[in-house]
Amino acid sequence: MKHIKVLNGSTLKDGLKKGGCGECQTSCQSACKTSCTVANQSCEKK
Amino acid sequence: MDFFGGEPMMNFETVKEIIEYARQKEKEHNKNFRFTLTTNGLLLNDDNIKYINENMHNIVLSIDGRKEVNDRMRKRVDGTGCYEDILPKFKYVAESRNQDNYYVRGTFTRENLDFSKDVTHLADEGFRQISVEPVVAAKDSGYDLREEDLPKLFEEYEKLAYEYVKRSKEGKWFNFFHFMIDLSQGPCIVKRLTGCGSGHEYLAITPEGDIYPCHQFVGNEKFKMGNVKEGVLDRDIQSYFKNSNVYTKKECDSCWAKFYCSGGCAANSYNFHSDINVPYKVGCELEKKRVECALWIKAQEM
Repeated sequence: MKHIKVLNGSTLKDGLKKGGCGECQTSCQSACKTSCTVANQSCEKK
Repeated sequence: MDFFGGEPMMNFETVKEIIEYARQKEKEHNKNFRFTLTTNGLLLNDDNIKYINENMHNIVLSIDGRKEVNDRMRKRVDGTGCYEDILPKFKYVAESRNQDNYYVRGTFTRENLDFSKDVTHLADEGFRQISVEPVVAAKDSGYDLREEDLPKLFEEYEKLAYEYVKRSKEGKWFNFFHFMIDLSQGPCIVKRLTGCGSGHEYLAITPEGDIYPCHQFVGNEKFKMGNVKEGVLDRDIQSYFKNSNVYTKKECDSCWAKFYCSGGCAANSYNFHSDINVPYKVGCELEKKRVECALWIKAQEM
């Protein structure tokens, strides 16, 4: 029996190849005026 | 490009002119400008809501939650609170955008540590896109959140996570901004290392044209990077921010949440430690709790 179920695999290494373009929106444009939140932002290239 | 305040609706003609200008420039330079606007709602009317819906990718509607909480902070010149005025307007905006691409957004402070009630209040009023965030306030300002407040705040995030899952299952879903997490294909590794991009990917421009790393630094002369009329930018300040990331912050080294939080808010760090590379501990603890709750929610949704 498997005790660990993988919900999502890792993608960070892929980001090294094409990432860092800086075109994504800034946190403040969503609803983040006072706390930096990054993990929910989407990639502009997607 | 985000128009926020002060109150951008007080100078809406300028907002329109900027958008018109940017639309020309994006064609010339093959850019995509995405406009957003944050407003306290007092000057919203049918005409400008129509314009906003046609031109703004997102709109952030400032309201802190319960009437007494909102009206304690958001007062008119005559001292009266604005809750009764703005609530119907905000409901109208939310519906006119099909309950998408907007946020009702509030700030919680030391004066409403029980902020989960403000979030559920906004959900009860029919809003589906909600963000309520911790305050960035100077130490001992009275509003600033302190280490001794953390147990109460953790409890509030957990309560909210339970409520979020419960309401989702009952078909009364609402979105809480800080519980959103993209585990499959979110921001790239570079974004995760550098965070919000203040000072290098992102700048704040004041009505006078002064340039700062972000709105939280406005007014601090030390961080003034130039003025749009001068055409020069202080590259040293830009580099200072660009070179700050999760690996330049000692405290981030051993933190499990570093690639979700990306090192925290530079302004918070500066406010408390006079150094953008020393994270603000209360901010770190709250961020970790939010990520923990977001991950728990993901697991519940399986």
